[in-house]
Amino acid sequence: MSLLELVAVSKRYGGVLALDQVSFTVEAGTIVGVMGANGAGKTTLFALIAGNERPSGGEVRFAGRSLAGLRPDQIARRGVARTFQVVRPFAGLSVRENVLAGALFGTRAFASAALARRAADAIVEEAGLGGQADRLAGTLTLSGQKRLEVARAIATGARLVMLDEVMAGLLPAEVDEMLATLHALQRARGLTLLVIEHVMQALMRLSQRIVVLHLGALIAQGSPEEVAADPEVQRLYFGETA
Amino acid sequence: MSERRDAVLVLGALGAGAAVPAIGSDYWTGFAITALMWIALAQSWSVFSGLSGYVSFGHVVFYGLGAYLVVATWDRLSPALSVPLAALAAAAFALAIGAPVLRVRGPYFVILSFGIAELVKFVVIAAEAAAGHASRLILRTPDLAALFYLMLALAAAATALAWAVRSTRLGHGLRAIREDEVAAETIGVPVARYKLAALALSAAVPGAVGGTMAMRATYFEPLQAFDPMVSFTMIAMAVIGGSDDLRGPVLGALVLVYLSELLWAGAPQLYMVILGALVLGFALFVPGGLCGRAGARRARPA
Ligand SMILES: Nc1ncnc2c1ncn2[C@@H]1O[C@H](COP(=O)(O)OP(=O)(O)OP(=O)(O)O)[C@@H](O)[C@H]1O
Ligand SMILES: [Mg+2]
Repeated sequence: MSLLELVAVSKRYGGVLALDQVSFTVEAGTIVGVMGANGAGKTTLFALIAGNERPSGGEVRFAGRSLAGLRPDQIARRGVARTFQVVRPFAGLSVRENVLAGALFGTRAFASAALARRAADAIVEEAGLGGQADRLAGTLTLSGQKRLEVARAIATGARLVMLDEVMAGLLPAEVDEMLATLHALQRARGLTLLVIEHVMQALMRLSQRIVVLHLGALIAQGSPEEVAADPEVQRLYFGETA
Repeated sequence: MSERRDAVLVLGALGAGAAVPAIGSDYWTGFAITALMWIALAQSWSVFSGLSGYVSFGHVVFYGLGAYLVVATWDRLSPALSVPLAALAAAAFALAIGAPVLRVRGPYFVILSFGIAELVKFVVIAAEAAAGHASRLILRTPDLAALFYLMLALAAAATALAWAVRSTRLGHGLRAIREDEVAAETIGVPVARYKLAALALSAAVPGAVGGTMAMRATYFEPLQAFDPMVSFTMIAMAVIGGSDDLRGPVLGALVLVYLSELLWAGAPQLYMVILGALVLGFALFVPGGLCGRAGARRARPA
């Protein structure tokens, strides 16, 4: 059984069909990349899975159960976490407190507050924020805030973590660091990752499978090689104008 | 942990205050009752508004309902029963209005909370007029020392409550809600339930305080019991002292009670002007209050 199943999921905003009958599955323990031009519906997809938005049609299933009608906090407790493309740190709390909030809620039940603190502090370190643990989240640089998004999502103990352009706006060296961090975090925890990224090279290196959205529709999926060789993707991404 | 140190500090100071009726005159006991009342109110306000960021301009409604309940049941219930009942009634009222009201954020919530308190005030005025009362007198109220110890217990209860909320998941969840409600629910904070629980907890002590102050005044008059200045004053105290800190509301209450004592007799208008200026100044330049984190709370990315 797949960890995540999307069955003909659609989302309409007024006249805009942001997602049009999108269906695909994600196997547990894999890293799946989500590709697509601006406005393709990638962020909308995450919002539907996490429960921030309700689908206009279709169904999202996680670990064999439907998520229909659940609130975001209920979905989080089932084991789904996401980051926000436009970062949403708890700006007035320290980095440590941000990640602790993820640990205290989400899926995990700690026997004591001290254990939750220890777990959160470990993730702060792993995410490369150890030196800034006591700074207010609002004072971090963009790259720091992106790391914090990742750390807070992972701290929830989610099995499925959805990362929305966590490498956008980073310097090449920072992208390499982030890739290493993500690989390490994913392997250590056996996570399933769904990753939106515009940096194609990074996405190809990170993902085992890739799904491609275009104007709300799923137009290709497969291994990075298969997707890169797909004529439709070739046409859209590598030149030839229609 | 510093939260525990703060709680021990505040509760210890309140404990030391227990000596006031024994060593001071009635004037000082009365003054201490006023100070303790404001500590209890500001501390309670901060449990909800300081942590959740939903700024209530209507907390006097809980105080007024508590006063009304104690006075209306005076001939039938002993205060030992009616004061706890006032706390429960205020919390129940908070639960009843909370579900619809807490859907509204920001300035709309501020206005709504103020409006509800005003609405309840006029409903009580109308009900009292219909029952043939302009105001009510109550007789054989407890003596000053008894009221002092009751108020001391309420200030301590509010502080203990604030400590308990802060050191549990509820406090962490409320802070997350204050900082970003969408992010909070996305990491699993049950936002609707938490806001409602915080509002009810934050309403209980003001209910009991209102009941106690009715006994101190020995009468009940709706315009006074539901006076919006009570809401404004508790906000001012929490903001000046620091609304996300156990010591903040206590410090803010002491500062303003002292200031009002200094100015009230000679220049009451000046008190209002200074109060307004202080709230404005702190909200703009020292958002964390006297006890806050070095003014960096609203800092934006570098
Ligand atoms: N809340 C909303 N209300 C109205 N339209 C929306 C809303 N959210 C998204 N859309 C529209 O839905 C479409 C998909 O947007 P979405 O943000 O999912 O794209 P994306 O693939 O994440 O793009 P980007 O790469 O720019 O982040 C766009 O046309 C967008 O304008
Ligand atoms: Mg997007």
